[in-house]
Amino acid sequence: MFFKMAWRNVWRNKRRSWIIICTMVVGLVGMLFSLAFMEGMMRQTLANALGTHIGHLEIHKKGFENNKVISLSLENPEEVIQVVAEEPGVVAYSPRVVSSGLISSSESSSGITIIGIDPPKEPRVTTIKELVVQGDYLDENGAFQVLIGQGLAEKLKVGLEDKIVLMAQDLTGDIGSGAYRVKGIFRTASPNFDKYMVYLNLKDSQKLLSLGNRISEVAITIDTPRNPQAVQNALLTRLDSEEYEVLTWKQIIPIMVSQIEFFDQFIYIFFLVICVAMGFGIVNTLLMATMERIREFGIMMALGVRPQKIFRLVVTESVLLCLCGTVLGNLLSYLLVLYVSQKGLNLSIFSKSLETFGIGNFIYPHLTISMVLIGAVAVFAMGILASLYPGYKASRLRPVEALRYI
Amino acid sequence: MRIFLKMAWRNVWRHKRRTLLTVAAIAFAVAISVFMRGLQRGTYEQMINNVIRINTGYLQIHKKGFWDNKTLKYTFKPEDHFLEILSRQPQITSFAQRAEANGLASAEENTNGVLIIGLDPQAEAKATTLKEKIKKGKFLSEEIPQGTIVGEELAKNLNTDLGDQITLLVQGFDGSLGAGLYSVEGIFRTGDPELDRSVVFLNLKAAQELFWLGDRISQILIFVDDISNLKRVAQNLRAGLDLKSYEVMTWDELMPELVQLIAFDNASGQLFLALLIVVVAFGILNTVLMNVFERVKEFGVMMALGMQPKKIVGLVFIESTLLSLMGVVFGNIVGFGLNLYFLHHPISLSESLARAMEEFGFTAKLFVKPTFSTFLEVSIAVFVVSLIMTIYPTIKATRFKPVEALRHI
Amino acid sequence: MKKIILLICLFLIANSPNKAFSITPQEMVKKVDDLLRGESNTMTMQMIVTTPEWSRENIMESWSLGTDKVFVNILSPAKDKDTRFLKLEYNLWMYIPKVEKVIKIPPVMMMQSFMGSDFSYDDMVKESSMVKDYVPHLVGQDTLEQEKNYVLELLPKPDAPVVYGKLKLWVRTKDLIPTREEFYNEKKEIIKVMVFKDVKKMGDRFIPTYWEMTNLKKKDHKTIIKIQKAQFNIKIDPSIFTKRNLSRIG
Repeated sequence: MFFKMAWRNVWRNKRRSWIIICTMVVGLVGMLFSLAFMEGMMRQTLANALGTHIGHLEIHKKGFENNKVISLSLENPEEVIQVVAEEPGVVAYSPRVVSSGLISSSESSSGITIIGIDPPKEPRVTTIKELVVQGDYLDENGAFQVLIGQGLAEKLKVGLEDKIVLMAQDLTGDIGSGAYRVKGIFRTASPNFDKYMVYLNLKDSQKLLSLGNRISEVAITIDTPRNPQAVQNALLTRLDSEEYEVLTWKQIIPIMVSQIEFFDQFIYIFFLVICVAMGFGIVNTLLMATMERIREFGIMMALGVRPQKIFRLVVTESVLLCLCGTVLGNLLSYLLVLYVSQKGLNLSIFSKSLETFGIGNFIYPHLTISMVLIGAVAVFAMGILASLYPGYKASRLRPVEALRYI
Repeated sequence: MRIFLKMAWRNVWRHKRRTLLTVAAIAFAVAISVFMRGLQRGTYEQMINNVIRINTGYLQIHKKGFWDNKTLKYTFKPEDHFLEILSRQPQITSFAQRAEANGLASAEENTNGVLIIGLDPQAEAKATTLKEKIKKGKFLSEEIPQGTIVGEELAKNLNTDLGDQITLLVQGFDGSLGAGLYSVEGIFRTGDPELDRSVVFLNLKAAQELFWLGDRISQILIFVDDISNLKRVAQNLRAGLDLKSYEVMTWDELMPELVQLIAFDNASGQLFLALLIVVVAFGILNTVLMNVFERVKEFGVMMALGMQPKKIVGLVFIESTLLSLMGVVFGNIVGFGLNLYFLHHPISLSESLARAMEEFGFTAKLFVKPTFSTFLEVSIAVFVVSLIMTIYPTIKATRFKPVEALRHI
Repeated sequence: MKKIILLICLFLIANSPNKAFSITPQEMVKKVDDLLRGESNTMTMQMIVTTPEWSRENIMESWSLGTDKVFVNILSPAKDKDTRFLKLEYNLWMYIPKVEKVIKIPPVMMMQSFMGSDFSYDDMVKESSMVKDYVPHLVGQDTLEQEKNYVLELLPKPDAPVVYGKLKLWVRTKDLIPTREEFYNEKKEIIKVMVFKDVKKMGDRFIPTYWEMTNLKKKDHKTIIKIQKAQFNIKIDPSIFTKRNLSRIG
């Protein structure tokens, strides 16, 4: 009975109600979109940092991370790979050879890091394949092919199909060298990366460095990137920790961890700010709406409706409005996020200088259930709180004055 | 006209609470925006300062072509008129000369490729923060001419510690081999893995000897009092030097990755502010809308008495303008106050965050940097948006015919 | 009548003194490669390097055994004196007198120039590169310094770890002594030129004693090597080619 009355009241004045709902909807959409945006930005930053090269976890011979010498290579790669492949949390893995070396062309030479990869496995762990801007990625069974960064190609004055020579200290201490052709040129968000990283086929690198079938590391992606410790521990139960080191991305690039923590703190603040901004709008409109109906309340009270009932009525109507607002707001937010995340938000419309850095300035907003819940709770809280004062005022009316109110 | 203003003013204050809430909403948006922008700018400046104070400087002077090709071929003798030009710029607080070359460092069995940088300890102590990054031992000093300081990672890789000797080998300026023995006097940690893993520092004179450079140097690092003076200083320097032989580069040209980081963060900050303004704008829209509809009868009466609809639009418009103005002004005052307060009391970060920041060589505080342009852009944005939001309601209001209006409930 | 003249012509041609026609391009290249090495050799040479910024002169002596072992000792000027190099197979060590240390030259240094010259350390250790890594073709004849030369084109084998796209070699037809070598990149642009002059008898053979390498990509960069003394196929004490010999005193 009560609800019916409240519901009818709400829709009796469509304009008023729609305005209030609209305020809530815009507030909610604004809130959810900014949360989704922040979350997307954080994921993007993390993905960029990890996706270019590191992956979520890396397994090496103990001590390799601090001293990347070829003698610290994995003699039993099959053992490691088997453990990794059987681990349920692992999504993909890529075996690699890593060594410092020298690349030379007829014009110039440069110290670089040689990375031997398994062409079909690597794209499941990193994005290097998509970052090839000229030529092609390495062939699965291709031999004597290399991928070099754009900055390096410019320095060496080489292009596609040109020959370069790689030189490195091999496992026996001798200097191994070989000639390769540039199969593809890549460009990442980091000019430094482009100058120092050279990719070739795993088998080619093993030959160059006289490694036999040894490798330097296994890079792994998992399904819970934000929490890699679980998989790390699982792997360590099966791998001898005297011989191997299993590192999470948090240990490899600790600066990312603090960046994320920073982010999280700011998300709270942003959320609060938008909440307050929305709050102003809701409070104001609700107040005005209630004040509009003073005569109406006056009549009701004159007809015998008790003050508490008036209060409850106002609050209930507000709750109903919140409901509509939340449902509609969530729907719109979802659609908006869906639309924007298809194409990604191109931030260069906000910043001229980002246009020169082509890569890495697209954000894909990401909505999670917890955000939706938090948003809904916020709107409801706002709505109910905002209705308390007008409800109170309404219930305190003296019918006589109310009736005379203009 | 004056009647209008008076009328508008009185209309505005007829509903105190409502007006105050609207003004508060606008003020809130403005204050937060101004404060946040100030905070953002402050953080960027801090980041820039931290990074460039270690190793880059705000500006650098080199031989033309050095930055693309950092070999000893591109070195120069710092002529007297250089130093004269530098000392004539009041905004320059300090400068430091350096010489660098790629070479090998060897200790016992291990040999690593390194970047060898020679610096002037006294000048550097005034200019860069390198001295504070020494974790073990002490900084370079002219009293120990063959001393060297190495990065933490490098020390580990070479298996050396304080007191040990390392051999440095380079291809000298004139092509001959330069080699020398140096004692490890200090171990530093800057937080920049590149530096910590592959750089050794020597006294400038020792480096010049090692490189067979004579009295040539590779670069002059320059520091200014305020980053906003940078462009002017760069211009003055470029005017005073022969640009065919020398290049003057500012930090953004030297570290494009830092610029990108900042631009990215800046852009997302702007997006957020845009969202905030949209939310507040809708709040205003709805408030004004309700306000206008409430007064339909009032407008009806006015129109019945002969007032032209466009005058009503004008009235409402002035009311809104007054509201917006009040909000913007008030918001600016609060925002300014916030900025001022935090200018003198920088925000300290939480425990864990603070520790993490210090690990990477950052100070664990947040600074604000309010600039006139911040206030201006925020004020204009909010003002314009809130005015736009009032257009629709007012136009709606004037569509009513007086007769309907009078009967409107 | 015609038939007899034809026969006489054929006969003359078949017996022409141009013996080289019976040598293949591969053998020609091997001869050139072998000319300056022999089974063993010792040499004393002067190396002059000129660049736009500076110029230097070094005097050095070297010993070589087979294709695997080389030892070099710098004699002058004083600041470089007693700097020594040892090559064993494809590895290179250097002794630095100033700090009395022996350093193994790592890959990053291999492409750096030897004592500032237009030769790299890699050039020094690459034995028989011309023979091992390239396939030669005879492409014609040319006249250089009033001498008739064969012109050979050397194309790198597909897997050979060399940065050049092509080499061109001029050798005198009469004695197969090299007179000119050109180095090209893959775009067939010429990068370096080496000229061989002043053929003299040293030890048991005639060799060019003046070598000049010009780097066409770096303006005014030139390296000149003058062989002052040389002996070939003599007995050399194998203990010269040890690390201990690098750090000996005197």
